[in-house]
Amino acid sequence: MKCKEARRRLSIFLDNELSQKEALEIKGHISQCVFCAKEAEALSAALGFIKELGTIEPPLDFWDNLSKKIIPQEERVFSYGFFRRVVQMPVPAAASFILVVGLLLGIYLGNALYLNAQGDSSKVAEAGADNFFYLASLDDLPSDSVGGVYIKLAFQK
Amino acid sequence: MPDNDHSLMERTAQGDLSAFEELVAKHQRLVLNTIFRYIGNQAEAEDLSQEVFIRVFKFAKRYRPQAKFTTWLYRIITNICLNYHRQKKRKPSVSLDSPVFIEGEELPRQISLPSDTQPDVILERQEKDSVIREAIDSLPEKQKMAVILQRFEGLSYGEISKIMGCSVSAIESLLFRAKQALKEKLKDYLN
Ligand SMILES: [Zn+2]
Repeated sequence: MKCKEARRRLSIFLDNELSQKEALEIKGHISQCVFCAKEAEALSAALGFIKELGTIEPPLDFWDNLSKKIIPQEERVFSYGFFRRVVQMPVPAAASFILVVGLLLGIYLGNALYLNAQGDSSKVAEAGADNFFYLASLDDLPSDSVGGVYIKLAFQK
Repeated sequence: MPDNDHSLMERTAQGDLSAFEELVAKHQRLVLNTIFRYIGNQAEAEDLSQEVFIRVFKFAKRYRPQAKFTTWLYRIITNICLNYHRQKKRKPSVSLDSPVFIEGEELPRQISLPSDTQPDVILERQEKDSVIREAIDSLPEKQKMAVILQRFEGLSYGEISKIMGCSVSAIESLLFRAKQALKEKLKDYLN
């Protein structure tokens, strides 16, 4: 191998991109040629030295700054997990979801407020403990609440 | 191990910010340090890193998981760095080695060192960094990028050729010339 070719391959060898056979050939040349051996040493030293360049750490507010740039503030809350899934539901599914949540919340609040209004807050806590929605049986619905009136009408005849 | 980056990108494309946040957390160090090695200025490297992730977010819908995610990411980084250099050249610019002033205050380069590092070690570190910086900055832009991707990021010639959009033999010759230049530049310091 001529020195000119050896130098070209030496560069590739130092980058670990030569095949095993080619690597052996270049090692063979270096072991017999002082000039190329010196060149190899100088290149290795320079390459080893530049690798010592220090690294830096990303700032702690990197994500905060970035997220402000990609999504306007008011939309951000809807871009996260739960909210995003609700927002991205098909319209009928979203409507049903909202309806069910509304009904459950209505039943809960209605009953809690009714019992509280009766001055029976201990019953709220007691009922809450074993039945979150106060619906152990439909008879438990207060007789003058909307639900109670509905049940009364439905079962009257 | 399945490539988790692809699924994070898929979720990002659907607008899932938590997936994107995870992707950013995973790759921000790589992006920041690659750019920092290229331009040598911490504040600007941070700005350009944000620019990289803005593009990732913007192009998420068009992303196709054909190659490694990082190959795609490095391509964005490379474009942004080379572009930055072109714009810098057009505008009257300060040397990358000169200190950076923001609102009259000099911005120190914050190289990560353990907090109990001795002052003379810090000085030695800073001197070393500025010698390396000068050597790297003396390279033509494409050589510089090839060196950073090969030496610091540990990428193969094949990957670098995909990222920089040239043939493997072109990368070979870029790196050959870069090594010669670095050797010349550093010989006084290393002897
Ligand atoms: Zn020789």
